[in-house]
Amino acid sequence: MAILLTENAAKHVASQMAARGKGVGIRVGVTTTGCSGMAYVLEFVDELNAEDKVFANHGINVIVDPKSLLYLDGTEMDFVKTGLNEGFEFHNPNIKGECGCGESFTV
Amino acid sequence: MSVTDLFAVLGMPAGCQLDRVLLDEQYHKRQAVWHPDRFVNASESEKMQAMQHTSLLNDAYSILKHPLRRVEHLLALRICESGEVVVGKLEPGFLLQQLELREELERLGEKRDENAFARLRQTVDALMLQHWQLIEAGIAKHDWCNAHLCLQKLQFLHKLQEELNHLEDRWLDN
Amino acid sequence: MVLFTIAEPGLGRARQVIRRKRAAGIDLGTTNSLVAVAREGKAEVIADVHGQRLLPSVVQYRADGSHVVGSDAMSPVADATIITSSKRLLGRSRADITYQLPYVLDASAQEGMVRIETVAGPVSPVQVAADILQSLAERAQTESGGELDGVVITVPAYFDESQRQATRAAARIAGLKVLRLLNEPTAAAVAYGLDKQLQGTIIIYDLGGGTFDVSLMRLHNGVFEVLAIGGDSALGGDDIDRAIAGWMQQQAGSSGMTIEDYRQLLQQSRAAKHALTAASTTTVTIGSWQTQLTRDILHQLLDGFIETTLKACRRVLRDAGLTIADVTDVVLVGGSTRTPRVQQKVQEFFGRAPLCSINPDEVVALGAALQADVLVGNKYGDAALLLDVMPLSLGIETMGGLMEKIIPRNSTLPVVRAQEFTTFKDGQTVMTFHVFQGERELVSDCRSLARFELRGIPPMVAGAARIKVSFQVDADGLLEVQAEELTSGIKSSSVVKPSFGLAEHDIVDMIKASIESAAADKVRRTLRERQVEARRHIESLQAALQQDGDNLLSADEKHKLEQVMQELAVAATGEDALLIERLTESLNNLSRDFAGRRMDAGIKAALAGQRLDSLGDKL
Repeated sequence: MAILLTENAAKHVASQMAARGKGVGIRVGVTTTGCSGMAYVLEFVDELNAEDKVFANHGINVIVDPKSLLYLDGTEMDFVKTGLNEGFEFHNPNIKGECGCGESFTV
Repeated sequence: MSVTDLFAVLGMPAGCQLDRVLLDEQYHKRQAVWHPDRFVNASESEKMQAMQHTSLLNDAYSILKHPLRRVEHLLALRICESGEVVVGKLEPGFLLQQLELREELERLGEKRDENAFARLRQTVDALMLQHWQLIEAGIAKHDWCNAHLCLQKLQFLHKLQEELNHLEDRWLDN
Repeated sequence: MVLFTIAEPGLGRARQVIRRKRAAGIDLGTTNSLVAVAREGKAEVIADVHGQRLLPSVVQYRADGSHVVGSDAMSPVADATIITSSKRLLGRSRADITYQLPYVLDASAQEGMVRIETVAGPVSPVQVAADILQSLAERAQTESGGELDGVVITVPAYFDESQRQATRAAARIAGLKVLRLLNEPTAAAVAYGLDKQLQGTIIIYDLGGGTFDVSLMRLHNGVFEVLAIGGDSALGGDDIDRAIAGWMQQQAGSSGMTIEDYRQLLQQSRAAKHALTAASTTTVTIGSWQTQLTRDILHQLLDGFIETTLKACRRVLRDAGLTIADVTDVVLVGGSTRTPRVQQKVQEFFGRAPLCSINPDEVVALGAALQADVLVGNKYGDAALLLDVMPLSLGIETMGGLMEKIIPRNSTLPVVRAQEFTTFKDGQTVMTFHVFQGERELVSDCRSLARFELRGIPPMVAGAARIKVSFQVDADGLLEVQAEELTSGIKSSSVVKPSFGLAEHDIVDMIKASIESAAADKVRRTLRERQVEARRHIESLQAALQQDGDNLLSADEKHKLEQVMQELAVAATGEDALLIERLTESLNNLSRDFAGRRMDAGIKAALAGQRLDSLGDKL
């Protein structure tokens, strides 16, 4: 089981962590959003939880809780630029449906 | 008075003949950069600039793809560069011939005759070809006076050709 | 595509700071209008809460000052005026309206202006268009979750300057930012070019409810180049309806119908026309009189119109110096191309079966949405390049009432052209310019667009002043004229205000009125948003219940969820936004636990059958 970070994504995480000045990695996870939908969690991590699983990718620690991992296994996180916009994008092979705005999804 | 070199605007080699595929390519390449659709969210002055430049591109393209207007432009450009003052008068023989051709066209307008029409078209086409060659030779020899005279004649012939087309369209529509 | 940024710990869910710009494509049609939204290069038509994709271009004005748009506006009620097909009046003068209308024009409106008499007072066709635009924009806003950053509105390619100005004014009144006015056939070509990868020399044959357009285009490597356009901005399915109605009146020997009778007769004519698509004959009635309308009679009524459209096709080919043999594909656009006779005649004329793989009612809105997405800045890959042309020549009146063309038709936009004129009297200090649009030699046969003056010309002998008049037409096809006396540098300019259009103060008044009603609109929009959100929640919960409802919920819990869901479903069809919100919230709370259980069950399922020691590796 794994979560992958593209080299480009890792580079951007690294520079953002450096700018932040602290942290052990980033947390990728899912949370429920009412009804049957779920949404992604993406945040910096200062302290690990006991059950957390850590994946190292291009020198970046990607931290996932075991529940989320089931929904995210095989997900690749990329950094993309489209026109004026830029940010992280998830390619999640487990997704069955996305809501209109792409913010929440079902598996 | 100066003349903007429209060949240069579209990055084309200046000449009477031109590579149409290359012309389209050069025009589209420049439009892709300058078209106002690319400047919808830009500042007013950038929008203005884009609009003016694409208008120039459109003008250049419409002139260069039209053989007669292309030669007109080439000649204006060359005469301007040479600084010469070009004067010339059409000889009476040519004008007389034009009158006769026009009278023939008028007759056809009153009475439809496909064979006579085809003959008239052939005569006009042959005259056009002849003057094209003369004009090219004139430009090659830097003989601006003669080239300019030929251009005036070509303009007469072109007008005649357009009227032939109109007549044919009228026949086709009915 | 949704992009995320990394948040500080403990915020819960990922933050999406990068918002895609919201853009929509609007096809403002004579009979029906549509709105579409593009996402990642795919466009989709937006339906209303009842699942209707077409919005009938009908507005009902009521005596209490309120108005209703769409199918709800079509059924007559007391103290209301129903306005249909008002696009045909947009940017037109009273003198242009030579046919019978199912409503009355205000005869007291100032010279030539078109105002429709309603129980709520006179209404400009621009206001009607604005009300339709607003209703469509609301749909798109509900769907994309907020204010639109911009829209592309399509217009018939053959729309002249005043009709385009009127469309722009309507968008302004509706509070929309117009990214571009796009010609309908060009929009259709974009949809076919991007979605179906169509390339070559294409004829777009667009016969709508009130307008006919034909465009000859070259599609090559992402460049959409219009070679020539033609058409008739007052020819469409409406005329066929009127012809059928006229035939019925003649057959029945009936005359002197009331407005309402005539409106119903037109509705019946349209229904008969549709029925004859499948049937060979259909019954029509006026009062107690009735007869059979056969397909043959319909064809007789149709053929004259179709011949007019084919003549325009011929002219367009001639303008571009091409022949039928050069055409590689023919695309059908517009609801009226569903008529089998039209398809048959077009096929005969071009010698090839026309394409209509994209719904001809929707193709224009889809293309507009794709272009709106690009123009607003959500660009994917190499954006298409659209090179459109001027539909009609622009010029100025010269001595003797002659039209001096300055920009010939089919000139690629944008275009800037200048011409020099001079004074004709000694000591002349003022010169008047009268701008016209059209193809005829005499200005009296062309459409008057604007009149403006250049004052303060230094007195000189006749013919000595050099006055440069420049015409500038932007990518929307909108004109600005400037005049300058070259020896003195005196200038005068005019953004062309159509002679029969709205004055600036009229537009400002309408915007004010629209702001005043904005509060009511906001309430309506909130309601629509709640309705859509409620339906979304219900749909996803239903799917989840079907999958896991029985295993994860007790009968009681399931019943409770279903009960609230049912209540919400009922509320969502009603008008009580607060109730919908409350029920959505409580359904959300009730189902949160269920969602959590589904997640746990998912984990269990994934772990089932695995040995404990291997779990150590996995978790």
